[in-house]
Amino acid sequence: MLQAIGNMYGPLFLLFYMLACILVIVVARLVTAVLQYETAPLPPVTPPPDPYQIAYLRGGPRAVTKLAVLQLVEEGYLKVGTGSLRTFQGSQHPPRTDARIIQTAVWSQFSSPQQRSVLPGIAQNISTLCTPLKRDLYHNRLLLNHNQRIAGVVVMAIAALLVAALGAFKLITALSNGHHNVGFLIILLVIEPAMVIRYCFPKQQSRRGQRYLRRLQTAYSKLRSDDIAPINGSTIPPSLLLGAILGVSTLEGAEYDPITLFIKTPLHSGWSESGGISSCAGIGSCGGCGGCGGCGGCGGGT
Amino acid sequence: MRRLWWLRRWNVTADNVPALGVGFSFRRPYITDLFLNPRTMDFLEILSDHYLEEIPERAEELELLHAHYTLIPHSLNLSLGGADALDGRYVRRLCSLIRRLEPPWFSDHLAFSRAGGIELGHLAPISLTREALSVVCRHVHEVQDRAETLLILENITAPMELPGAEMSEAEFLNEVVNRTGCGLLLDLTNIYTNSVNHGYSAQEHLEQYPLDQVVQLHIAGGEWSHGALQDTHSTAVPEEVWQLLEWTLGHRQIAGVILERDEKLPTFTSVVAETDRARSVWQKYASR
Repeated sequence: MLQAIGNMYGPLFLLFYMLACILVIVVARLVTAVLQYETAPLPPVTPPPDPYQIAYLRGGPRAVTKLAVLQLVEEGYLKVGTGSLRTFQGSQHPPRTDARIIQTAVWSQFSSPQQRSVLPGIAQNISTLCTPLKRDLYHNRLLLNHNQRIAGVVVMAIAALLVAALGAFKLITALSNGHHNVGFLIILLVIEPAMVIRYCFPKQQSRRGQRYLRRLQTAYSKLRSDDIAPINGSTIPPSLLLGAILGVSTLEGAEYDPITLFIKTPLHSGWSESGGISSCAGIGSCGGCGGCGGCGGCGGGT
Repeated sequence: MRRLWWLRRWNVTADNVPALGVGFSFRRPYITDLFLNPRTMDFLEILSDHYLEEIPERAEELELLHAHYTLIPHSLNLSLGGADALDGRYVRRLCSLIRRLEPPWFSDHLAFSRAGGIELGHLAPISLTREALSVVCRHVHEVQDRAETLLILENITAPMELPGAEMSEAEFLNEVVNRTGCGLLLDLTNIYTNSVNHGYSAQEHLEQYPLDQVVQLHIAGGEWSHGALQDTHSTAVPEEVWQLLEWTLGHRQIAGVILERDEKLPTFTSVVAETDRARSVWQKYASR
């Protein structure tokens, strides 16, 4: 088998290598899914859960920070200027209650006008205040626990090593046979393990958490509509719930334009702010590699 | 007899179905209202045909609804009154949906929607003859046996009276119920609509139906078009239908009442106002 791979014609091996990488990713994700498989019913979506808890599940402390900014702006404690945010002149501070501790902490960062680049720093500062949110999410097994994360990392590492080992084996064989046209192979040797890590790296949410988020998004997808009846017996503003479930940047309407413009910052925190669902709809849609091209060398072969 | 054996095994007949209360026919624009305002609906009727294909968004929606409500599948295309054999693929998918939802009953219409293998795209009334009766009974037996769940049949509106009828619709349904043990879904608006268009008393007509086999009721509002009242499900329930509801519930405890609305969807508050009104009538007689 190994000899057959070692002797494989260069372009054919590149094709085989790409397919092998896709297969490894599929298998690794399946193994991860099996490891996280649960039959227990998901928590109910009604009455709507605490928006800050949903925001934490969706995007961690950064999503919580953005939601707090939205709430503070809506309540008149913060004012959006041209690309900056500051406390409203002459306004009181938000109520200092246990339930509002995150909002107060966020508010206190804006005593002078701040650019949106401060948001990640604020998120870091408030992460300890998010512990109660995190605790409830762990309790409902909506976030990965330590063991699940370790298992996920191990599966990902094995998958990446397998892919890297296959490429390295072919590279060594090619070089030892005197073939030096290995440019594409080296490129793939870097790209493919990186792809495995990209698509197999364990997210913060468990699969159960991702399912719960999808369920919330389905249930409250019509919050954007103007015809929505008032929330029965609830004090949660619809915009806050929408910002929590779908993201503050998804809010539509002229009144939200300044805040959404301010808040749109890229996230690179291991959280999937789109709702825990990978932006890649499936392995087959990930694009893969651009192909051989036929000119840069494929690692020799006969 | 075979069917009766099955029904005993399922332990669900038109006589002992669980009382569900009052709900409405689920339409997607109301999904968020439903979850923001829980406990406004006792149960939901879903259009089975929307969920027969494996579409991820719909599967997600169905799973969500199922986790929070009792769902009653209501299908359109069994074509129980058609001379054609049942569409095996359709029945298989419908049964799969029923197994997933485990409803106390499911429903379709006393009509045909397919002829000579061609989908008509609407529900067509059947000739009320003995031959048609045996066809309907055979189809009801087959579907009920495969679904292992109580099937209830809905009366439809008839734009014209078909010639050659050997019995009335009420007699026909009575016979189907007696032979197959299925239940009835009585659409009060359809009875009212037919009575207006054909010029007879809805109340007297209603009295001819086998009320002791009625499991569920439909109420809705229609509109006048081309000189006839159409069952469009696009307006509020008319007072005449409310009176029929009051009369029916006064004579028979019905397991469920569904408000239908398909066009000109009003605000959820308006829908709830109508279901609340229906619930107050339902509860008045349910607590006897």
